[in-house]
Amino acid sequence: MRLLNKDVISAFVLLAVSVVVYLETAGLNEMSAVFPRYIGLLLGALSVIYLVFSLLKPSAKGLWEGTNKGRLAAAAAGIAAYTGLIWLSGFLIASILMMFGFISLLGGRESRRPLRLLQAGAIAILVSGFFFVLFKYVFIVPLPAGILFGA
Amino acid sequence: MRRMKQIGALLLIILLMGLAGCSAGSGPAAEGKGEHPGAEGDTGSAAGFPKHPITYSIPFDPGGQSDLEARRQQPHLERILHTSVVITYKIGGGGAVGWSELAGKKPDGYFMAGINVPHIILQPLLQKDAGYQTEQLEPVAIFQSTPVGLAVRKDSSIQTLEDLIRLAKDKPGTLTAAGVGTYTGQHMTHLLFEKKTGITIQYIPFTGAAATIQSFLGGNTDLLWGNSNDLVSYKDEFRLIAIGSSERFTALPDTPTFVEQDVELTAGIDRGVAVPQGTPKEVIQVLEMAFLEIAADPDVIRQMTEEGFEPKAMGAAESKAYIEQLRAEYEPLVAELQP
Amino acid sequence: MNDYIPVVFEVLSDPLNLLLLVGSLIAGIVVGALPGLTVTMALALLLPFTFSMPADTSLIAMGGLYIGGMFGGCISAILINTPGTPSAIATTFDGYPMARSGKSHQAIVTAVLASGIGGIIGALALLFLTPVLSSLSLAFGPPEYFWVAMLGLSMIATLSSGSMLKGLIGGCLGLLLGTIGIAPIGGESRFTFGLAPLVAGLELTVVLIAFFCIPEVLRIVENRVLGERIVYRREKGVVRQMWSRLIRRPFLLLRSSIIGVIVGIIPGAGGNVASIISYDAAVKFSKDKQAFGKGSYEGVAASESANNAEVGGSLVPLLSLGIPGAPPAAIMMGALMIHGITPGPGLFTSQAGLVYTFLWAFLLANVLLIVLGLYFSGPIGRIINIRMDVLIPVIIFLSTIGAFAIRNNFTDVVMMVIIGLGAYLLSKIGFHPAPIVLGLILGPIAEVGLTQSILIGQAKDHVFAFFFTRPVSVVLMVLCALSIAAPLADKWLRSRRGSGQRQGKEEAE
Repeated sequence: MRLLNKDVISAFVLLAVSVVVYLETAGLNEMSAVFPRYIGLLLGALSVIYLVFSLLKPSAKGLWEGTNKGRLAAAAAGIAAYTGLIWLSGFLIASILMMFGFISLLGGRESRRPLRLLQAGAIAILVSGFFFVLFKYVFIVPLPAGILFGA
Repeated sequence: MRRMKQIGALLLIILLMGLAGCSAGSGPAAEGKGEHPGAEGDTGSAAGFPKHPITYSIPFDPGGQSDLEARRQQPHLERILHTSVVITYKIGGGGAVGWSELAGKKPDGYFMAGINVPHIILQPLLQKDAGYQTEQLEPVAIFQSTPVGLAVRKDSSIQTLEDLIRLAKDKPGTLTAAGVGTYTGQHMTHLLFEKKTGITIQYIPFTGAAATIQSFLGGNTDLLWGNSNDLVSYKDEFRLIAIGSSERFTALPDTPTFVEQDVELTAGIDRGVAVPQGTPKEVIQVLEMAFLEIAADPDVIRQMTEEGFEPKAMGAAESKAYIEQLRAEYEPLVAELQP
Repeated sequence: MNDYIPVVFEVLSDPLNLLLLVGSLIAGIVVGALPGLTVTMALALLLPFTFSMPADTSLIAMGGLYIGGMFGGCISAILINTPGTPSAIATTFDGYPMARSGKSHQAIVTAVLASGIGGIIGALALLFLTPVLSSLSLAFGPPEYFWVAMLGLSMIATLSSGSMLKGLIGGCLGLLLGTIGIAPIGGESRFTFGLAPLVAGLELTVVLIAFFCIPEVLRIVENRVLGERIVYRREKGVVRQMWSRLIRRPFLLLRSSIIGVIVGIIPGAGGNVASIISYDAAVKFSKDKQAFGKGSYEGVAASESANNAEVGGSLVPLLSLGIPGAPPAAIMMGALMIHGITPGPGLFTSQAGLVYTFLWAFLLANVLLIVLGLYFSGPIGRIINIRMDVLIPVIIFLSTIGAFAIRNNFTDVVMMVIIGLGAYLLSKIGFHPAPIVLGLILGPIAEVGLTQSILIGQAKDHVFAFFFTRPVSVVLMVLCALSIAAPLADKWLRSRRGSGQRQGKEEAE
């Protein structure tokens, strides 16, 4: 029963959001401001109710209770790294690396045997390659080439 | 057996996609090469530009007028320039996203984008975060103009522009006019019209031409600002009381201009194409020649006129001067808008 | 119209036209299934080819693509919890839980049958009721749009699994996310904090991927369910089983399709709004409300029949008034114009042969959709059989490429990752994605309706009357009130019957 639980903190964050919204709309013309301003006020009012409720009846469960933080962080970092890699080396290479990485890491120890690694590589190249061709040449999507390759 | 079906399905899809891809990529270009074998001499002069495919970026939705125009030009461009022209989309912010991308591209002529006047003048003037400046876009050509007209419904008591002005002077601010967007060409036209006639009409912005017309037909506003092509489609439904062209408009011969009715107003939206600032003169010239050649094509002229547009053929220098002149006209108006 | 039957038959019995119809249907399904590829984009790519085709052939191809694309969205919604097109949004609510419990085949068969039937009802409406419906589309002015959005938002009460308060807060957050960028009526840029990429606003598809796909991927990785597969239950007679279940609920399909048609004829409200409102209605009319959100086939059927019926509806204003009800309809209008045909009030008389050919082809396409969909439903359903450690990176890859392709913008990919991580955190705290996304979809419609009504009302000096006295507005307001009151009354009745039971449920949340 901590006083500063996840609900109390998020209620304060939401209150802050509604204040920012209200201040931002102050500098706009009436027709741009009217809708977000009232939604911001509504959000503020709801956040106050939320705050009161979470102070009166705090939830017993912590935010990360029962969560495997390590695996979660790894997955999130993997997705973020993929985005960075696309920016750096373009879509095709980044996708092959990401897929190969995920398949060989996610499958557990067993998946790091040579044959399985080979299989993972083949899947990564085939799937990325197929969709790369489909998007780039059939649907003419100008996929990023990566700054390493002069784009 | 099941596996076979699965593979069969996949193969079928791949085959279909492949077919579509081949025909999309090489179709028009291949046709073009056969037709015009002798034109190589006059366009190959600028250091062999273009050597590889050119991207033609559209800052509006697929299927919009800018897109339709680009798709009309695409086969001709490929024939004249001897390379494929790839149309892509960069949508958002009423064109601002596409134009800020253009402003940041390498100025080598391999990336061009459709431009709309007066959008490219108004956005940098009115939005501090538009992401580009008007002079960062180097116009290559302006090939189409759409005069803006003013219409009422058939059952309206307003017969002429004179009626409208009289009515608006009687009850200032009670008439409403629908138009596309805020700080757009139609909005500016509305403001200029108010200024030149000394009347007040409430402008009601809508999010697109379709929404504007739907709402106007439904009786939600008294007046409609419409682009000529839309007005041509609805000429039996609406009563057009004035059009913003300088002379009578070919597709709407019965509609008087504003000028004829003693209101010094010409207004329209022009479509063209631009490259990033700093593109070599020779490269611009190659593109300019290509667009002007298409603009002179009798088939293209006929189609555009029938659809309700005014075909134009302004070259690079002329387009630039035109944009400059319009900017000088809009700057004081914009200054009034912003307190 | 009987005079045109021979012409119609002649065109439709041409094997080339039929082949093209089947091909474009399949291409449409593929485009619809891949997030980020839109029917609008595919139609634009097809457009140059239609220049050289006869007008009827090009319309047939475009219609097939449109119908296939609308259906295709459900495949990724069911299999990977990401709507391939925003129209399939409500399909994820029950389709994905069905797939997770091994019923992917059942879910897809349900979607195929519901889509086909919805599409056929939409086509029949288009064929026989166009003149009546077109006047209804003109009855929707700014205040009506506002009330339609409010009706959709009243659904937050139904969608909030868990806390109603958190659902409402989520709805507000969604509405605020929708206001980022240039104000649709005011014209000024808001909440961009000086960042140029935000001026264009958040793209719905990107946010949908971020809210539905990324958190699901994180949850699967974190829960260590990777090595195992979802048990795909191979069952015989799935088609017959689902068919007999659906046929026993004729009102479900009929109601959903009518909602779809009506939403379709209102220009600017698309398949996503249709599927959401229809899903809401299905929950409210169902006797077994608890089953929804946990894998109810009724939820899938409601969403899919509505969004396919919407296609027919969106063509009503195009063919009768020349107003495209949706972006794909706008491209079809462009194709007609290039053939020298101007859609509008005179089209049904001046081009009757062409119009009726198209309408019958449209009907035929929906029948073909059922045949094709059922044939491929088995193999597609078994995609879920792929090992999770392979499926996860493929999902990440597809969502990334989809987020990019929708606007060809790398910023959208970055945005998807940031919003996706935020969405995971929010769902951990108890804010579920459905109300947030609902706010994002309906926010712009509500804002445009509200501000335009204020402007018109001020000019006419009666803002209040303009909002509250127009007939269609009144109907919508009553529906809104009913929609809010019904679940509250239901909760109250339930709590009176057995308060002990509800207590137990809340603690489990």
